Amino acid sequence: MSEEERLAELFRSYREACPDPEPGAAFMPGLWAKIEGRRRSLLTLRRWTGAFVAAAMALSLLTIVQTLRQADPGLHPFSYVETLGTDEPFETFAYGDVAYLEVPESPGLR
Amino acid sequence: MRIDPETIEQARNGDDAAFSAIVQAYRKRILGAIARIIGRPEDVEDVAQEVFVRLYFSLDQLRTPEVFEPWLYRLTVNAAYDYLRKQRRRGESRMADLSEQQIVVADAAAGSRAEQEEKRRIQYREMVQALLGEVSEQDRILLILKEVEGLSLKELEQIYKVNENALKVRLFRARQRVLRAFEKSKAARTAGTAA
Repeated sequence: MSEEERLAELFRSYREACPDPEPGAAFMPGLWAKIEGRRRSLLTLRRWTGAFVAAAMALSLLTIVQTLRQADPGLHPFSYVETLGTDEPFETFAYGDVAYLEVPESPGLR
Repeated sequence: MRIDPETIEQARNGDDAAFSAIVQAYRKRILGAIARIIGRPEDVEDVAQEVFVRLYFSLDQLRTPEVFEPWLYRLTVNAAYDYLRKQRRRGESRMADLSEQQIVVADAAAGSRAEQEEKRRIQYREMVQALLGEVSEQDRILLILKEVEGLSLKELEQIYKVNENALKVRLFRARQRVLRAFEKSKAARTAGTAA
């Protein structure tokens, strides 16, 4: 018998020496208790995650609203008349001057 | 296959009775495989329960019922790895504990035929466990699945998700290492007998 065969034989004997053990009476109840426990903790985790996501969304929304309020105190803070009163006349605008500049005549146009 | 594909399909759809039927069909085999991998009888049921808990929560990921058995073995191997890793972290010596336990059992044996038989079994167990201690944890589990559990290369391919050739090479190397340890132990025993 070669060493390989002897090793195979040894493994076979080992298989016989270690038969499949019979499960105890508490195996199935224990298994279901573990499944229930894991299911409960998964449910709790899912609830916490949901609550956390909802809180984070509410907080984000609140922050966005707050930021918008601070950046724009209102679209129409003054009445129409007040707005007209504070309005600068057209002539005072820098580009107004540019518009009234005399353009020298070009020789080609004569 | 020990169970029909319909039962697996029912269990996948959340039928607890079908799941119980699967557990009852496979629990003895899984307990045996775990016992031979971890070598600690007192923890075998715990690890087996963990395997079936993982199966319960991952059944919906099973593609087809045809690959159920390799899938279950894969869960078994992973649960055994996790257990052995935890044991290593705790700094417990599995083999040493096992031997001590077995010596106590052997010493208690008083010489009846059944006890003699038990003693012989313990010797085999000790010897193979010691030989398997010569290879890495991964190779030990691979050798047990192939040589002791009798899984085919095709099944191992599905469990480990590596190709057959890579498995053959790994098995060959692991077997060579165990063979060398076997020869060494035989030589030591011969020398001990001669002295």
